[in-house]
Amino acid sequence: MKIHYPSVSVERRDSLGNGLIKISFRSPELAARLRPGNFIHIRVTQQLDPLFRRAMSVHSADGELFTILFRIVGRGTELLALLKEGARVDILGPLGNSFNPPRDGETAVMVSGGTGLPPLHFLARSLIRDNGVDPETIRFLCGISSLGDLPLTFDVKSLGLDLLISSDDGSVGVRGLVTDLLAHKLQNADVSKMRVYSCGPEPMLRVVANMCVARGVRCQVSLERHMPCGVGTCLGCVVQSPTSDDGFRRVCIEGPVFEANEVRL
Amino acid sequence: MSGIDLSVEIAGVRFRNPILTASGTFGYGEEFNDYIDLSMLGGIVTKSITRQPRPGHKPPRTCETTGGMLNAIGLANVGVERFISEKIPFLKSLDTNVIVNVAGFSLDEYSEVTRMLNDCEGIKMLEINISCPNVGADGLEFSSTAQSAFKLTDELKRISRFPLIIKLSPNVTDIASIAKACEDAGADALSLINTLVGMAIDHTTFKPRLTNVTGGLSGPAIKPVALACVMKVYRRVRIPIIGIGGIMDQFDVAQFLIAGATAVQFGTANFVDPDCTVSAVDGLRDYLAGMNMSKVADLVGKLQV
Repeated sequence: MKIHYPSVSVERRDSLGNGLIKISFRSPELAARLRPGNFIHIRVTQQLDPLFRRAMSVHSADGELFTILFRIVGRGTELLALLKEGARVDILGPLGNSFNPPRDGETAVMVSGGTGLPPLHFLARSLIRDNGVDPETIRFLCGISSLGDLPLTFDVKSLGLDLLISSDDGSVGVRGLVTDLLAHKLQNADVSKMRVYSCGPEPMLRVVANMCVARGVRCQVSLERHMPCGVGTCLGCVVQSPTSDDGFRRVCIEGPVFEANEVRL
Repeated sequence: MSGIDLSVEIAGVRFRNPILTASGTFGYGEEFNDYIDLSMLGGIVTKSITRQPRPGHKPPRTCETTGGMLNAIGLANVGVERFISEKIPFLKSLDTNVIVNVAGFSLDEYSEVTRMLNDCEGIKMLEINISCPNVGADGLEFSSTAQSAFKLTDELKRISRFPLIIKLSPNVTDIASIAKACEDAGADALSLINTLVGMAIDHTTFKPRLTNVTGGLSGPAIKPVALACVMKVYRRVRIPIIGIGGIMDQFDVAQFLIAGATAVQFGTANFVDPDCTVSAVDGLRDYLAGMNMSKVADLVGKLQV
C-alpha cells in the first residue's frame, strides 16, 4: 500500500489572519484517496530539526487538490506556514480511519471547536457532494474564541448548511461554549435520528462525548495527538480506551476517529 | 555497481547488508510490511518481549526534542506467549534475519522468556535488552555494573540455543568495561547504544512533558555519543558490535562502521520515514562505489586517528 508521496507541490497558500493558514496541495492520486477523517503526515523540513512530521487533518479533497487549514502554534506549523506556491513537500497519507456517514433518515450534527473544524468541514462537504445529503439537514455547530477566527468558518458557510456559531467573548454568534449549543440541540430532539461528529480541544470533546453517551446519541470524535510515526509503530499517540485489551488505542491507526464510548478523554 | 558486496557476518549469521531495524521502532515487523519490502533489509529486531503482557505507560509517552525525541513507552508488548502464537508465524515467513529482543525485571524472567523462545522456528538471534531506562531501577540493574551484566549474560548463554546480542546502556560510567564483561561471559555480539535518560519540562505548567517524568532520548541528537561509545567498545572487545543511535542515512551507517560497528540499527529514523532503511541500502551501495570500495565489511574499524 502506497503511503509515501515524497514530492507533492503546493498549489496555493493563504493567510486567513490570526495565525490561520490554508494550504492546497496538488496530487491527483492522494486527493482521490483521502476520506473525511483521514490525516496526512507532513515533513516540515528536510533538515533534522524539527525531526518529526506534523499530523494534519484534511480540510477538503477535490479532483487533483487537497487542502489543510491550521493555526501556527509552534516550530513545525511555523515552517509549514512558510511554504510557497510551487514548493515541494514530503507527505505520508492517507493515514488513519474515517468517519462513518449517517444512515438514511439520520441528521448529522457537527460540533467543532477552534481548529478542530477541518475534518468536519471535509465530512459535511463530502456528505453533500458525494452522498447527496441535503445541506439544510446538516447542523454545524462551531465554537471559536472570537471574531478574529471567523475566517475559519467561511468554507463551512459556503456549503449552505445550517451553521451556528458561538464565541467565548460573544464578539460573533452566541456568547458561550459550543457545548452549550449542543446541549440546546439535544433538548427535545429525537436523538435516535441524530448522529454527532466532533473535533476540537480535548476538554470540549470530553463534554461532547459525555453528553452524547448520557443521551444515547451516536457520536464519533476525532482526536489530535503528537504523533512521531503516524503508522502505528511507535505507540506514542495512544489514548486510554476502556474497550481495548491493553487499555489503550493508537490514535494514528485505530483512530483518529473513535466512537465516543470507546475512549477515555 | 552489482559487484558491491554489502553482506556482513555476526556470530555465524549472514546478513545481506548491515542495515537492521532497532527494537521498539519497528513493532513486530508486520506493521511495516505494508509499506516496505522487508527482504531488502539485513534484519529486523522486534520490540522487547517480556514474560507477561505489558500495556505500557500512560500517555503522553513521547515528546519531540531538539533533533530527537524522548520516549517512555514502558516496554508495551503482548508478552512472550502471545508473541509466540501470534507474531512468530508472520516473522517466520520473512526473507530476512529476525532478531527477537528480550527484556525482563529479574534474572528468572529473562531466563524463562529465553527458554520459551528456544522452541521457536524463524529466529536467528536474540538481543537482550539489559538497558531500558523506563522501567524503574530494576530494568537498568543488569547493565549498570560489569558483575551483573556478566551474571545475566552467563546465565542466558547456558539457556539459549540462539546467538546472543547484549544491548548496552550509555547511562553508565564506563560502557567499555561492561562490554568486556559481557564478552567474557560469552556474549556473541553487542549492540549499542540504548537511549540516554532525559527529560523535558513545560515551563508554563511546571510539569514534565512525559507522564513517566523521564524518558529515553534518541534520534540524531545522540549520534555523537553513540559513535564515541562504539569506538570505545571496539577498542576493548573482539566480538562484533551493532551500532545504534541517531542513524538516518547511508552516511551515518558508514560512520558507525568506520568507528567499529559491523552492522547498524535504524531506530527513530523509521518514525520520520518508513522507507529510510530501504533507501539507505541503495545509498550505501552508491557510497561505496563513490569511495571505490567493493565490500562494506572493509569499512569496519577503519577510523584514522
